[in-house]
Amino acid sequence: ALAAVLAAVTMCVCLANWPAATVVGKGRRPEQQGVRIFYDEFQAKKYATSSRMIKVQTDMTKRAMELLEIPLGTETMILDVGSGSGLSGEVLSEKGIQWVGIDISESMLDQAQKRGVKGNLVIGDIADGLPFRGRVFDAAIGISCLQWLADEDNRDHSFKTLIHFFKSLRSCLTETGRAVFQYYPKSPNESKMVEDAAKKAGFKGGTMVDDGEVKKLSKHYLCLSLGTKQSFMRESDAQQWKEKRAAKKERKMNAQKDRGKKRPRGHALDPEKRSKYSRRSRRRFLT
Amino acid sequence: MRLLTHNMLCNPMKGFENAFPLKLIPTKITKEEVKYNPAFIVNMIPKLDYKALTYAASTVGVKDLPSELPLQISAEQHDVLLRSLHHTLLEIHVEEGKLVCPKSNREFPIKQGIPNMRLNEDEV
Repeated sequence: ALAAVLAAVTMCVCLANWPAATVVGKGRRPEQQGVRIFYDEFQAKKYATSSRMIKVQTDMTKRAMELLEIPLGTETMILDVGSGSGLSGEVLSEKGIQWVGIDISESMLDQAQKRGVKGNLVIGDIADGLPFRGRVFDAAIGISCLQWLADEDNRDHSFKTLIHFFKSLRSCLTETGRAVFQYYPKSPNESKMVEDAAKKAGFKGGTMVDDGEVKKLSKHYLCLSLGTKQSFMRESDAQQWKEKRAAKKERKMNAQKDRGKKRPRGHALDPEKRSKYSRRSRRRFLT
Repeated sequence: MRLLTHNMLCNPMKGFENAFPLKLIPTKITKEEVKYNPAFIVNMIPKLDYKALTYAASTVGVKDLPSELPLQISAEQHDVLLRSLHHTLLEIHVEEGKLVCPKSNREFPIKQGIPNMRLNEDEV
């Protein structure tokens, strides 16, 4: 009887402390309720202090940085979209990288300040478009953020919002800028909608799925870039690449002229040029 | 909010993307030391809007920036210049104040060092 009374009292206390705005329906993911409602002070604190959450976010940030495929030195300027409580930003700061974080929730950014993040925080709704002028960021990452922009009930509106966001992202990235967004698409349709919106805004890229075999564990990374592989070469490398291409083209044109004539076999006779895989040495090796 | 951030912020409202720089009206300023990294400053210089930076610096009381930057900047030659840019961009924090759009006069408050660029329902 005493145990039953204690249990009842504990339950009453718990229910009394549970803030009304954050009651999560059974099995519903946060993004099915709207970001403004979900990340209030209570949820923000829970998010920032859960060690499991910290580990997951840190790992996803590191993976996103890896997928950016550009060197991230201390001279780069990164945009953290949906920086929240600064869990992803801290990974950037650890490498000495300067970053600007934008998030809609004041409570989450409060948590970030309490943790003492070194980044530059801005409150803003990315659905309005990023409030930054052109060509300032070398790269952008977004961890667990894009799903908030995709609303299943109103797909046309979501699509327009996503395009607006991606266009503003494109303008504030440098010409060689790249972006990687880890997010949770609710369905393959949503994943396709996000990709299409990015393409409409002028990005190239696709979605990388890690651990795709198990749905619960799978992580989707939308990887975006603004040009061909050449666009993120340094200028000196790009020059060399152009020269190589021109030389190759010239060789091809010359080869066409010489078609029908016997090919010069200088390689096998010239000891310097003969590789150990040339025909003569191969024959010796096989026998 | 550092002056580095101010140098990048503009009004997100449709039609006002060129409303830059935002007028900076600080009411509370603090200073915090940050490790000097010349590579970052050198990389950032081509991306900065220098006129906006000198404007912002004047509102927070920094007067020792030159009116124009030299064309070629190297870490060894321009050490003094780079250090003063580092101080202006990264070490001055505007804790309280506001940003005002030069075209629409819409105010964006700065509280606890974070500027609030969120738009109201009717402005979206």
